[in-house]
Amino acid sequence: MSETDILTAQFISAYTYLNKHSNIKLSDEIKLKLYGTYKAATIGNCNTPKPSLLDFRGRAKWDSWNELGDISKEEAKQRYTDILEQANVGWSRDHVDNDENSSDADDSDKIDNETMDTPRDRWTYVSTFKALLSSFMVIKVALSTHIYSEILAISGDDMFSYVKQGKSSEISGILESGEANVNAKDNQGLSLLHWACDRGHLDVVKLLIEKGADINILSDGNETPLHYACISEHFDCASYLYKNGANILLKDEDGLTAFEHCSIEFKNSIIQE
Amino acid sequence: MLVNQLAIREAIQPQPSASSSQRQKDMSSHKFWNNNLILGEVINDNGPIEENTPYDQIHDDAMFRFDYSGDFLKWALQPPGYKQTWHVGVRVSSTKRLVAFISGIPADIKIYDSYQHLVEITFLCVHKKLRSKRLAPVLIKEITRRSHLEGIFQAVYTAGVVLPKPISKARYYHRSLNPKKLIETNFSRLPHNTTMSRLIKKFKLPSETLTPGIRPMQEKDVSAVRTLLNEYMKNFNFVAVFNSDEDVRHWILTKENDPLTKKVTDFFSFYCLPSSVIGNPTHKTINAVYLFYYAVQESDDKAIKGRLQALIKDALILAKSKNVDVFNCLDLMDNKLFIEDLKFGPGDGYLNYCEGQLAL
Repeated sequence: MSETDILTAQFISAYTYLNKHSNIKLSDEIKLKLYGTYKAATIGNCNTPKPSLLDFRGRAKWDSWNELGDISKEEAKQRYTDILEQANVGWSRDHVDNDENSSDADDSDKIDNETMDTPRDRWTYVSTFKALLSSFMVIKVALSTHIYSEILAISGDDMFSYVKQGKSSEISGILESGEANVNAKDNQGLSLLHWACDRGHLDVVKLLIEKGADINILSDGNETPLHYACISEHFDCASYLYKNGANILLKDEDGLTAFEHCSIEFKNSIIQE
Repeated sequence: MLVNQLAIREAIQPQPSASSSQRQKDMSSHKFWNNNLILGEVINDNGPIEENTPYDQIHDDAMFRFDYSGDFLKWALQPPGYKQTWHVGVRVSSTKRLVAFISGIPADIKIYDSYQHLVEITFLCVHKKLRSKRLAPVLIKEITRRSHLEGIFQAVYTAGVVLPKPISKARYYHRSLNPKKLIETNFSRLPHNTTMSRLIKKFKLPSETLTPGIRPMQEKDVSAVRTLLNEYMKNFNFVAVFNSDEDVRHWILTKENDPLTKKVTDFFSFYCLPSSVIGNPTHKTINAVYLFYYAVQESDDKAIKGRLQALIKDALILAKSKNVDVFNCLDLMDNKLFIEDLKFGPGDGYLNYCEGQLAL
């Protein structure tokens, strides 16, 4: 095989692979690059009129093809295979040998349709807050660090993670084993019960109190667990604390009681219940 | 720096009908390119285009969807001087079912020193089952043709997607008013190590507005607001021009009463556009408002900043008192002067502004 033949075989293998695996997720940028180089490799230099102002998708694709200028088909094939290989989606040049039925798809429209239909390709979408590092990842990192550094000790940090996630059976297990302090505080000066109230995990609140957590334990800012339940409007938790004798007169560092942080309706329905 | 404040004028995604899968089958097997399209029917009634779809039948991964009301669409589609022929619907000839829609409205804009009367493309929607059937280019050609008939050859539009060569680009910013609900709906995330209580305290607002003399705008203020607004807009390079009191009356004066101060030294406005929350057991809707036009009678940056911060804070307070969950704006006009201090945070959405020749 000549070098050109090898290149062509690689190119055919590459786009066949992409067509067969329509579930592959690629960024718009890569999709556009693949589109442009595919066109240049199969048709040649850009020979269609510039799409309408309003056809932004058509324009983006046209731009991607047009800006390749007068590159040769060979160069385009080379670039196409480079892009796909670098995209790390399971295709590499090694694929070529095992690829027998490679001639089934000469259909650039198929590529267009299957690869250009993510939600972000739409004209519009509802903006939301830019995603932060997900809490799930943070927990994983925290846990794995502990697994390596403190294999023997059951870490207080793990307890806090379980409380934040509302994992009552794990918490129960650790408390049964007697290896954790139910009134421990974290580096923000908050106890397990504060966190359980803040997140609204009623079963964890009950569990902690049954296991001897101080119902009026104060944070560094002099807030009780009831403050957290009221500010975060977790009615069930606030109501449970109230019924179990939480002191409603305690004031935080701003001089406010828990019920002074919530609406009159919230307070009344707890007291009247 | 830009601005057509027309974040409202985005394409809509109609909800697919779940009422009859049989009917949809019939539709998708239609040969759409064989003259089964009727172009040019004007939509006159403002009922829902489709029945709402149960959440479990929506398969895309969007979590929120703009929830346009009939009144909102009328506001966006029927400004002074609107042309019915620029509201173009496509129906299937046999069933009369509306499957696609495009609209344009007349707009006057100023780009640097040049005034242009052009068409602003506001909505483009294609039934979910018919996407990727190349219906959009047909609609675009048709609205182009109809613009040409009116002697208009320039267009402007915005889109959330990245456009090839936008004239300007703005980013959405969000200010939580109801942080707990926003977290429960995944509109925002609660960092692992942050308490909900801290977040709620951070975004807490006074229950009453702070600016002395603030009051709702009235009919008698229309002319003063127009003067004030056009004067203030001179600070920017790409703006909508309000040529008549009628424009101000339509876009800014509402029955709901937008607030402004006593001698009309300043004004601000915002509009409501809720989003439906998809697949959430407790919350169906996020009540969102979008900052619209505003103007202050100050000239130096520091004075504008102080004034704007006070005004927009009052806007937040008013929105909060109307049970709004999130207050949105774009980073255009002078918004950068208050975004940070008033605790707005960056969104993942952008708005791209495109302007140019409309060619068939």
